[in-house]
Amino acid sequence: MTHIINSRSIQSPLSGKWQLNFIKILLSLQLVLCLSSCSDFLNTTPTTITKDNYFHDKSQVQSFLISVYSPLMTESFYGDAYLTKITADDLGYYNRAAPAMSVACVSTSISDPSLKSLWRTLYDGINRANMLLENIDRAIPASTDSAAREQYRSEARILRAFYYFTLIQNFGDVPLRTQTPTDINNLLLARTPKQQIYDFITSEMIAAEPYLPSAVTVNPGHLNQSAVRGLLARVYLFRAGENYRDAAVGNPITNSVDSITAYFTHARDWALKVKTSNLHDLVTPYSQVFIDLSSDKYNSTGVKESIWEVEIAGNRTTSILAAGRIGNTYGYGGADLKSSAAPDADKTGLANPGYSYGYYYCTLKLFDIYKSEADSARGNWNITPFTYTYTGSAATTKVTGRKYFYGKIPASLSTLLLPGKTYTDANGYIYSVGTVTDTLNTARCMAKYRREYEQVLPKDKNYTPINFPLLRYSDVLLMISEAENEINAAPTTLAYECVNKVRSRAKINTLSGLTKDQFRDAIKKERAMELCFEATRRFDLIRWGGYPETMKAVGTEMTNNLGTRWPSTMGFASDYFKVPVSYYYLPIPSYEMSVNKLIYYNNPGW
Amino acid sequence: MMKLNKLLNVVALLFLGIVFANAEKAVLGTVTDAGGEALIGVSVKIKGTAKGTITDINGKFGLSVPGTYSVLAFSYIGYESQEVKVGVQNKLTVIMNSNSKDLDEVVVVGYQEIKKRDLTGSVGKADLDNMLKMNVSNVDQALAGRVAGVLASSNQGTPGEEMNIVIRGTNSITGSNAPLYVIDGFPMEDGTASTVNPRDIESMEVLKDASATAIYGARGSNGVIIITTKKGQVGAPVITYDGSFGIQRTPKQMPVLSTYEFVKLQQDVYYASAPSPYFSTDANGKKWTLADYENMPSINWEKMVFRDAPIQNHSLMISGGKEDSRYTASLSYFNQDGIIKNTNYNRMQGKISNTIKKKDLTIYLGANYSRGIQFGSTAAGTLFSNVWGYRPAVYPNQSNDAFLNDIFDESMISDYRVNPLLSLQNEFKKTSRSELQTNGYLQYEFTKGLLLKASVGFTNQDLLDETYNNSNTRAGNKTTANRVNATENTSSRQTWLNENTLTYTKSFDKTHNINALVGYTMQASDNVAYLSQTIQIPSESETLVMAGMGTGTPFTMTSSASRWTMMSYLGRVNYNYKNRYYATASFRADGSSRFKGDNQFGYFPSGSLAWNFTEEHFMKPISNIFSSGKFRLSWGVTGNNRVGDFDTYAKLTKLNSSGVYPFDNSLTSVGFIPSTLGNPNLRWESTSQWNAGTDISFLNQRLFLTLDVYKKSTDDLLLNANLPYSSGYTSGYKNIGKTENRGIEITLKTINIKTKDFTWFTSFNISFNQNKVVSLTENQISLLSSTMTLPNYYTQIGYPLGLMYGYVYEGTYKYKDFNYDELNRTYTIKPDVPTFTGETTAQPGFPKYRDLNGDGQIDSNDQTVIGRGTPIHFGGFINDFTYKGFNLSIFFQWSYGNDIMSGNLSNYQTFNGRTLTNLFTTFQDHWSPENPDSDIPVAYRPDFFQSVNQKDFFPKFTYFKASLNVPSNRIIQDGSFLRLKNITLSYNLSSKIVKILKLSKVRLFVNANDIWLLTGYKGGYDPEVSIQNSALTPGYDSSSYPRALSMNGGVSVSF
Repeated sequence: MTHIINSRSIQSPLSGKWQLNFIKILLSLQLVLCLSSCSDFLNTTPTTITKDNYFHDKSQVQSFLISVYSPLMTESFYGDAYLTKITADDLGYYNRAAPAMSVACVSTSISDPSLKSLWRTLYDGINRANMLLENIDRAIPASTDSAAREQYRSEARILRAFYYFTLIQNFGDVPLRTQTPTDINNLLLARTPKQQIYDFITSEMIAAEPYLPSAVTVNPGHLNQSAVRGLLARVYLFRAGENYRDAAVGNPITNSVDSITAYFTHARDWALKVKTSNLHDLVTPYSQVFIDLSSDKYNSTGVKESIWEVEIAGNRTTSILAAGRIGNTYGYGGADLKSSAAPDADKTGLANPGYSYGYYYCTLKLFDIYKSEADSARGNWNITPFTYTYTGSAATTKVTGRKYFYGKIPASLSTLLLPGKTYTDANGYIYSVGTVTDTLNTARCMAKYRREYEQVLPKDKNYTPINFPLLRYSDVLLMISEAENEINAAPTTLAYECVNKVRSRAKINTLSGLTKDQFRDAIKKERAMELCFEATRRFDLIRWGGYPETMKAVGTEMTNNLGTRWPSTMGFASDYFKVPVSYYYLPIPSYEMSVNKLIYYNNPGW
Repeated sequence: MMKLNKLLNVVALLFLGIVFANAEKAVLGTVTDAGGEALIGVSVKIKGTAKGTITDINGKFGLSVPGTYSVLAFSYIGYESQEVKVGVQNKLTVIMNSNSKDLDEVVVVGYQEIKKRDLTGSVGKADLDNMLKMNVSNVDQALAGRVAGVLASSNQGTPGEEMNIVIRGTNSITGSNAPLYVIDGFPMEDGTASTVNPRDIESMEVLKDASATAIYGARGSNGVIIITTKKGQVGAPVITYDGSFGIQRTPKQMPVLSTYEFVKLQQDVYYASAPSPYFSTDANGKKWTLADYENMPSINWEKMVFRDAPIQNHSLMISGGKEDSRYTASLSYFNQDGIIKNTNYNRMQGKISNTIKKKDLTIYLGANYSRGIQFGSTAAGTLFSNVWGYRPAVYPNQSNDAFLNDIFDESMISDYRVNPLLSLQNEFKKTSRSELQTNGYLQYEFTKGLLLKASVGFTNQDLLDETYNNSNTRAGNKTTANRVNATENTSSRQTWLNENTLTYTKSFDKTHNINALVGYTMQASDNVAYLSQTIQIPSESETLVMAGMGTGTPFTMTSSASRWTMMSYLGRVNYNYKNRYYATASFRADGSSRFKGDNQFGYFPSGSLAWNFTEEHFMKPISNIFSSGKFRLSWGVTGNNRVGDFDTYAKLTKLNSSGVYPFDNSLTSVGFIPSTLGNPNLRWESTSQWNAGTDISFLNQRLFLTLDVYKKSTDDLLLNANLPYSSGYTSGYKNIGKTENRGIEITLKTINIKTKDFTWFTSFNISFNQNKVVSLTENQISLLSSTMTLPNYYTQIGYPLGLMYGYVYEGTYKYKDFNYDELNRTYTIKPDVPTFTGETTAQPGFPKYRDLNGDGQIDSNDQTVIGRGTPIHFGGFINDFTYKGFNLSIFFQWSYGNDIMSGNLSNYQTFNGRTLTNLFTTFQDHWSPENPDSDIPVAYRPDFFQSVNQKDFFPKFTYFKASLNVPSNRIIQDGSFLRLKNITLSYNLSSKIVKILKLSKVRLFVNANDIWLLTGYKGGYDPEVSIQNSALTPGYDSSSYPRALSMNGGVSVSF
């Protein structure tokens, strides 16, 4: 501070020798003072939040835990791109003639931006979990609130395990980092064999499971005991199928026959824990589950079918960007009324079905499965049975009603709406039905997530509050059936009980008297009907083996039926099923390889 | 001894004054310059006494002197001082010679002024006289082509645009390469000259080599620009007014298709089954065809957004004072309307300074305030996309008025294109920058040669950014999520500085000359920044604008604060032997709060040698050839500390985007995320530089040559390095990587003709710089950067920074590349012709790229270096003619060897499927069955395939082609240019007329800037462009603001 004194003092009019001496004194004083206080002067206190000045109390841990969950809802993961670009399977296709660089269009590459973002998002989540785990004991000391501390710790451990599981499913061996890095100059990390990561995942989940709340005490957005049990079953099932993809791409097989049986057993046991907890059941109708997801409700009927969901909310008209694109890119809606001057723009329901790009359409294979099983409850929900009709254009656009595809009139209208006629309801909406020749019935959009049911207003053109189902009870039941069948020589009573419970809810016939192989095929079909478009199918195909063959067959079927059962306008889609064997594993993103030189080999074929 | 003499003199004077008062003698005199012009305010002193006077407005003075033995000393700034013996004469006529002798020019280097003769480092002194002829708001804007080694360019032509100045090539890959500005001794890290009125500037120096910059240590590695403002001169008050008025106009248009051509294009690309709305039926039931559009006028959007715009500049300055008290004060106002409607830059500025001298003590106090306001669209990236692309005509059943007055093309609402004129007129975007600089120093001379200087400075900078988007703008219209919205972004920075230096100058027997400097400085800077935004503002009002912000819904709100401190010790010794052999050494130790522990201090030494070889005896015989000559050699280390104030810490951030998880649908669940890993080991980036140079003048100083060669290498680069994502972080500052720059600079000045009435001189400079990346982040070989969707810039070890990257374009696929199936009338590409990845169905007219690796597939492995963003050489030359009172100067500037990647060509000379989008006229020549040799790709519609019967159409296309939009040399053009930057004709009124007007000096001038351009670049308005400019991505053009041709006239009056 001496510098200021100096300049001020000078203004006092001293003269001659005194002046000289005074300045000399000041100068030397200043030099000396400065030398002694330099270090303080240069040591500034950060005016920003740092790792060291954070983590002081429970609320800070809670707040940090939010960011450990948040990767789930980002647009690079379940918020959009993971569903539209990466988890494509044999039941739907990307309905654009211009292929996007993606797994879905079989045009991914080592520089695919959606893979790079996914990789980054998952490791962001892992790093956040690591940081929380390293600092939680500092923030919530052992003497205080141990229940909360252990719950938060467990949530972070499970999320970290889940992110690693997603990495394995897509990339195989990946770097395993269980602590936050401290030295920026030492960040390179080699790939860890996936079996080692599996062991880490399951031991973490098992260790954390007791500390989680019961599924009845929290909404399904929070991790709960049933969720982690179901996830363990899913992890074990996927692990049991690892030998298929390793054999296909020429990797050494790391699963032994014994271990496969053990994994199926673990899968069954963990899934069974969910069942025997008696907390969960299936909702009737099937569609209610998804209406709940779209309308910001959690198991509204009180039946806890949805066990774990990705929380997504809002419409991005506040600064909290918690809305996603489910229903917009991945799902079904109508035209954009947001720009319309009409008051309908801010309405819910049929008046304003919300804008959708409808990127995902259904394959002939999915049509045929529903048709062969006469499953209209699930078929007419997952595949749209109608289109919206409008009047006006641009600013004057208004919804007038629905036009059902030929043969898809819902039961509630079956007596009112006759072919060739229309029906007008009390609100003035007009319902009509198409003829066979309108267009081929098979060019139809996936409609599992419907913007019509959104409650948040105004509906944004591109962002929706629709949650995504990560684990449903029907999945748990089908996992029990499948594992039980694999463990035993033939399907057991338990196996039948579980699968038939799912089929009964859909109001289709129950299964009985099947061989082990027939039962396995039935489960594959059942999972398609029940769980299509829930981002699990691609991994089912991988763990069942024959993934590229299954995919190619879908494309061939399209080509063979082109212009007859399959619209010629959809001819391009068959290219999206020419999946090579290398797609069993996705490539490690080139970005990571360019800066992490300890990853010096990519997956086979990349 | 000296003191005794002085005392004796005073005593003698007193004694003589009293006793021999009648021996006094009156002297009258006139002082003129060599041309006979009276000099006003010349100091006339009786040598050995304090008595003296100054000349009046007619150059006359009167003084009574003690006697015939008296000697009068005449001194005047800019002229050689001289002494005249009074003798017996009563009338004196003194002619003073201007001291324009180049070598005696004083050059400001760090913390000192020295004569150019004594320079041992490479310092470029800007020729302000000629630069200021350009009539710019900011002295930087006149710097291009003036000083060798200084690359001054602007990103585009927006009024008030700040210049990018790069001295001797780019050192830093991800950091700033801007030089350090030192304005009146105050170093400013993020400085610009924009706050200084160019007319206030006394001198401007560019320190280039390490010997010159090392005294600025840690902040010197990008070079230093020293600006010194005018201080009051001894003399009668001089009031000077400079004013000018001009008009600007766009020099160039980018023609787009006319209505007929546009509609024809629509016909070509549309299907019969989904016809263009242009062929619809009007209210009278008439179905329109192409022929109906033949003579229809086109809406010229480009013409509508441009205008002829005025520019004016006024500056008033007062200066004067006596030996013990000198002052200056100035006021200036600059106002420039942009040639794009609704854009403007204006600045008000005032300055005041005072120098007080009391015995051995000198005190200076000064303050400068400026407020610059930039208003309106910056055009970059968006405006012209709409201008060029917007439809030129309405549909048959569409009202022209409605189309012109609707923010949307309603039929194309889905792709967000907006009416360019309406959007432009409604955008409210205002950036106000105000800055108050105050500084002062006291200087005390202990004994002769020992000088203490203590200075204090304080600067306050305020920045206010206001944006208001009403419903007729791109960002606030009814289709946007935010609707009408407003944003206020404000930041404020306070910086103080204290510097104390002690200088000692001593000459021993006029043989050994020593000058030594020691000092220490302290500096600290605090800043705060706030941003707030509200959306869905309910009732928009034209009068309310930003005042209506409070009625909206609060949206984003952010705040930040930061602080840095610095403490330095410095020293320098200059020694010369008989002004023949020179040696200089300097040293600076800088401590910065941005670093921790042992890394806090950095040490920056330098040394240089010089040899004035013309002082040698053996050169004397040829002194008529070599008037003067010097060789210089220097080496030194400088640093760069431009990282964040707290980058050594592991930071957490609360993020509303990626740290959100809406538990139970609650939008309040926002969490903290780790944002940076932090690097406690950060330290200075250091640049070591060698420089060898020579300054030679020939033929009695008719020809001056300065030549420098340099090599600098930058180590421990403060690189914002890419980190493996598996670490959980994306990037972080590391001291890693290395770059190298080497180059040659030549400056040549010739006085071609010099007679009494006519002078012609030419000045020319040229700079070559070669840049090379030596290493990047550990083991990283290359990195890609992008200004487009796909990476289009490339950096690789062993190559220069900022190379353009992409595919090699080979023209379109021609018929010969295909097999023709007559039955189905289809073309199938021959198996041996390479195709773009995933585009095996390519058709004639599609873009074809080179298959570099020969694998039959054109994919990301076939990308390569396709252009360079930095010039091979650049420079400028000026011819200056003076005839009596007339002066004509003609200035050219050039850049050679750089390429430009034009996003404009990618979007508007390519039909990439965007329906109803207009294109450049040059697209007319695209490939078609009638024009099968064209290399401009074909027009087609992406959903072509959706037609039921494809066979009826030709050519048959199926998928959208990604290959149309990839970066390739198809969109790269040579960006070399030669520009006639300025012509100025001025006339100094003769002294007779001036006297009649009772003025002291009048200069009238007319000038024109940016008059003529020679370039091969056709991808945009101007080749001097760099949208999204950075060291990694130079020379990208996308809807840039054109540079205006301006014509000005003005006057400069002193009285």
